[in-house]
Amino acid sequence: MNAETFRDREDAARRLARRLSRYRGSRPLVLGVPRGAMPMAAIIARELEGDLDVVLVHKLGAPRQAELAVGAVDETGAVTLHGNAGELGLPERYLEEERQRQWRLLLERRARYTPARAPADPAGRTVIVVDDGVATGATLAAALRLIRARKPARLVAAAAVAPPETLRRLRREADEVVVLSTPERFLAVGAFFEDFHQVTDDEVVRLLETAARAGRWEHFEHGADVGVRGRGATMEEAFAQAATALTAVLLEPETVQDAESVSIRVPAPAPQDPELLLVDWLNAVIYEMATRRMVFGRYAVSIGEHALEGRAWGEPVRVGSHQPAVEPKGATFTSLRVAREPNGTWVAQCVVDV
Amino acid sequence: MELTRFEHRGECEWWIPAHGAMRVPAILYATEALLRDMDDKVYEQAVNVAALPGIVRASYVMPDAHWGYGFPIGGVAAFDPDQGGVVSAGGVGFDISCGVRTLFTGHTAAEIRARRGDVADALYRAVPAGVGSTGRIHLDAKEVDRMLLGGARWAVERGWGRPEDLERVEEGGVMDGALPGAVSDHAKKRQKDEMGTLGSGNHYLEVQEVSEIGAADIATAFGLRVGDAVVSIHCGSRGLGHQIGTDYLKRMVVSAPSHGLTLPDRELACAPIHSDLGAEYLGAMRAGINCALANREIVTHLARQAFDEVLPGTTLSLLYDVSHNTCKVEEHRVGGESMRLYVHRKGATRAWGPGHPELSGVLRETGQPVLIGGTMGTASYILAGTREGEARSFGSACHGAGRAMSRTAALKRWRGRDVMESLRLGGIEIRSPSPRGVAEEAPGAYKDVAAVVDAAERAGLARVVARLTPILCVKG
Repeated sequence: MNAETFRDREDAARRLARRLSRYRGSRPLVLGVPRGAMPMAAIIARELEGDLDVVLVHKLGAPRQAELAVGAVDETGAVTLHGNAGELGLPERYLEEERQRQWRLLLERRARYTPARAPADPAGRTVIVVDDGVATGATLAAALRLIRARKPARLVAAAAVAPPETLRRLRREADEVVVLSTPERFLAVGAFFEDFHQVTDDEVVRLLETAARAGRWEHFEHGADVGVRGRGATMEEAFAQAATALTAVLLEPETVQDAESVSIRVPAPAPQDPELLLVDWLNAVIYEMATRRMVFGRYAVSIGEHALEGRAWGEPVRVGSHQPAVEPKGATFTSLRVAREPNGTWVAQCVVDV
Repeated sequence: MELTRFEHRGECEWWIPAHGAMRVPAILYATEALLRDMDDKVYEQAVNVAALPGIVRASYVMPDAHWGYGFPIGGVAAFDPDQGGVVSAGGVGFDISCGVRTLFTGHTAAEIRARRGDVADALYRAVPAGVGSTGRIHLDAKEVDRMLLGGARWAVERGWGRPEDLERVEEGGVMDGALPGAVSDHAKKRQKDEMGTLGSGNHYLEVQEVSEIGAADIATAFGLRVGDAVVSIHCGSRGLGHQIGTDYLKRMVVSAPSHGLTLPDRELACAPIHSDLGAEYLGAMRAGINCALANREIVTHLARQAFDEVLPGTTLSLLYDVSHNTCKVEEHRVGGESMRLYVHRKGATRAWGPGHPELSGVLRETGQPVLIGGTMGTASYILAGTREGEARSFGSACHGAGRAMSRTAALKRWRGRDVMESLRLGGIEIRSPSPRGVAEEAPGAYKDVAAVVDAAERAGLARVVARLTPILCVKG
């Protein structure tokens, strides 16, 4: 493969997800290297119906030369040393102090990224580690080694771009390596993406929060139009996920920034009819997107006796970067269903005319 | 669908005789191959429509039929108000009066091809297309109401279009009986900044070459010659039409029990024509038709300006403007007498034949042009209505080929940029703000419109007059 550019990280992520499609069904643990690879990891986790987390590994620096890595430490405090550690003759006390320093920083980052839950455990799982571009691969190789020590069932490394030498290095650490582009000359990751913005910590937090919720969305087939389906632990979560599926008709929900929030109130039809309410809710979202010229990436729904109180977070449509695909005309009564499935999950779905 | 479920009554004519709740038979016009290819829901929906109160003669299905909302897309059904006939929001659809108009450019395809990049760029700049695009025309509330009453004539009066265009638009460019008061504020708000926009999905503006002539006498009468370049515009009533569909679909579902209607399917939501809700919907739907007619007139005006920039002195003159999601009141002969019927055409085009009193000039000799849009990158057709069409389908024909695969499947299979590149290599320029939208509209995602048009001709619904191939395409 020779050098190619990707339109943006999302484009690369979708292509990686296709190459990794055989892992759908084994509920893989997708670990993104923060921060740049997180939007990609989120899309891959969603496409493969897996779980999302960050891979937190810090390099251990040499004394007075922090940039020179002598090893790496993970969130459990486990260490892997590079070949040069022995050559440099570093005292054990220095290594232990550096380990403690970096480990503490890791725990602070973990607390910032997922304050409400513990890190995912790779033991026994198919783990896919995702990076956007890998230069030398030194840190990523160390991370793979540290994950391997925790006994995953299968370890896969995936990246959009890496030079051939790095590919070979990664192949020594993982069971499988999937890279879309292997250019001979690798100067900077950003050079391979037409649209490459800085990913912030806030964005990482938001991506992890969204993925962690019980809810999921999907599209189902319907001839000329699109079926939107949301699932969740509650009917309200299913409604919020159905609206996310609606957003996905235009563009990837993960690419929408949380710039503003809009409150959307839908009077409940009387007598109570959750299915009519779903259609009204989705039509209200369509109306707000059309008249405000916004796209929403995230929704929250609360259903009371007289009304549905919804909130949608998003930003004005940026045609150049969002490139929305098609405009939803209206939610219909086709394939309309709001129900609780035998396993307790709520599902809310209907076909949307586009 | 299994052919054994139908009675084969003519070369391209298949019947489902009335049984069970059906008040009339269902009659499907298609070749064996097309019929076999149709999804099973078409059978179910054709049968459900045949069971509606006041339906007259038959529930008709066109050769391009597929699964729709209550009515099949490609469905035609006429109702007698005095027999409890109904009007159905699902039977008209979410894009009220979506349609096509075709204009002569006065240039040859070769002349356009020589400048195709510039022409494509000029049209792309002139006509806003796609999600999030804004029109340059902003209407206040009063003007919205005038537009809803005046349709294409309103647009011409405002300086967006020419008076001679109106004779070549259905209804003379203005649908009578529009009630702006029956259109919700939501619908008006969705539309006030959208006039003169193309929309997205399968809507487009194409410059095409007349590549083949069928019925030579009609082609000559229409003014079509091989090698000519024409412009076709495919779009509808935009946000206003969608919102009217949404608003009234719900009201009809909720009120069905109170009208004594048991719907086999909620999507078949309808109301008696002789009811307040029925009358309101008709008024709103007619306003929606006017909105679509006005919109296509404005887009034409913008296209004229774009052409004038690149090829000064070009005049675009209108061949015809057809709509394919409407309910119109028409006189038809049924069982020897003349009846005033409410004819729903959902994804079906009016196709009046030679001699029809509402056609004028040369069109009364030839029959009405029927414009069948292909999808982005594929051929389109111009047909003419037939005399037999009146008895066969209340003067209706198909509207275009349906999708062969869903949007999700198309997106998995193609990348927008690859589709654009391969079309460009084939000599077709595409302009679109969304590669993903282009992938969903890839030519391979649609059925073959040639087969549909051939079936319509063999069934006696229309005659093939010309085949058009794309030179450039602007889509949202």
